[in-house]
Amino acid sequence: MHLHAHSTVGANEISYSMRLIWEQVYPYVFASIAAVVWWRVGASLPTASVFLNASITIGSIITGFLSTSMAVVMTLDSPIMQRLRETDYIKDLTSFLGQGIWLSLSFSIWSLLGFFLDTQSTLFGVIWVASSVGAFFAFVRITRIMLKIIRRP
Amino acid sequence: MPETMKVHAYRIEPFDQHGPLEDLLPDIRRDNLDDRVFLVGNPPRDVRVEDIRYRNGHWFMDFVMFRTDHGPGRASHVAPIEGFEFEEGETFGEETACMYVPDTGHLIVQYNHFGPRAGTMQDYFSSYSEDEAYAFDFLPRYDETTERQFQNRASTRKVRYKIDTRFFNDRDRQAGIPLHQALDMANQSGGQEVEVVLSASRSRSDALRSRAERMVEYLMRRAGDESGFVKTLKVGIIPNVDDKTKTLDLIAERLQIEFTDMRVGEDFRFPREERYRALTRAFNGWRQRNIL
Repeated sequence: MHLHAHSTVGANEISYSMRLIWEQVYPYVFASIAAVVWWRVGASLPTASVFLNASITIGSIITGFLSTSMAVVMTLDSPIMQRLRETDYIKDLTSFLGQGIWLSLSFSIWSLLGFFLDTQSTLFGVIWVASSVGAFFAFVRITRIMLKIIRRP
Repeated sequence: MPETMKVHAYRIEPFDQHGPLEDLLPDIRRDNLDDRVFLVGNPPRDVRVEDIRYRNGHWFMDFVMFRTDHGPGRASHVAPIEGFEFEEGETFGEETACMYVPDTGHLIVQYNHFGPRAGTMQDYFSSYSEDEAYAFDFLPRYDETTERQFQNRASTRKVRYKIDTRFFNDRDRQAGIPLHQALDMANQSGGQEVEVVLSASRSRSDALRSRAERMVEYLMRRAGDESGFVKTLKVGIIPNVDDKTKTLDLIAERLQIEFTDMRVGEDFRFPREERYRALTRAFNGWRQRNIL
């Protein structure tokens, strides 16, 4: 009998290692898909300048929130956090937190640049969509995880 | 006075596409003693390969685990017990010898209650090299009857297992379990242990689906790492069609041999060569009986 660590890939089954990889890349996958769709459809961003204000605000709030969470989470000393620190999973936790912060910061900065660049251009729009979708899912990813960590103190 | 020493057997499988253990061992041999110390296991302890040699196609290794917990004292009938004097940086070291057979991938391991167990050795080998990725599974070997019945079973009708669900570890991550799922596993149970029974229906022709089979495989290897994650694992199988169901205990019925003629030296340790010899005897014995 030959033993495998994960189930064979079948119609409804995904091997465990793919799930791990998916967790690590899915914000970028969705961001790319959104960017391609945006580009294909040829859409363009709203023209009102207050639109950029809104983008910067949302990005900044998320960045600030995640940065604060980083400080709080690192001081948490529950059994689950202790267990996380003993394993390589802590790398995932800090990486997801970092990606959330950098992506939302980048989104804010790109929106700020909208005051200098042409927001109606395809390039600007595509990058705006990619960074907003990426930041959104990166935020969802780390928040989901932090909620699971605090669920059981 | 003769003392006892137990020996167990494992088969080592490189995980996924990773390299075999015999590629890593010459690197370990080349390193200095202090370069070989790594913090591994659960709870984490410093472990190193003290001695490593290649003889007649077999690799012999002696592991040492640096103890940090309550150790023995110096005692005699006529005086009270007292502690040992240690220099700076010294502590009790617990030794565990093992022998690796590259041809078949078997690892014959001495059992030392205080020394590094299989799971710790697994972690050690898997994290030794920074550059190359090595990852190994230690699959325990079972006693002859159990192994034969399990391998040749007609079907699996029941699985009963008990796991300590608060544990997730690096092995899970290497198996590809993402962080959010590891946290779910940790959150799912209110108590510390979960006991699960999967059984097929009363009809004799029914058997557990392949998912349950895969669960058994997964639990067998987790039981092998001796981390305490799998506390109970019993499988009810039908050895051959038309046989009655037989229950195999995949924790207790591990392949084991106990040597009762070991002698400690003047320093109250089994000499390394004695331990190596015992491992060779165990392997040869099992080999001769076609168990390994």
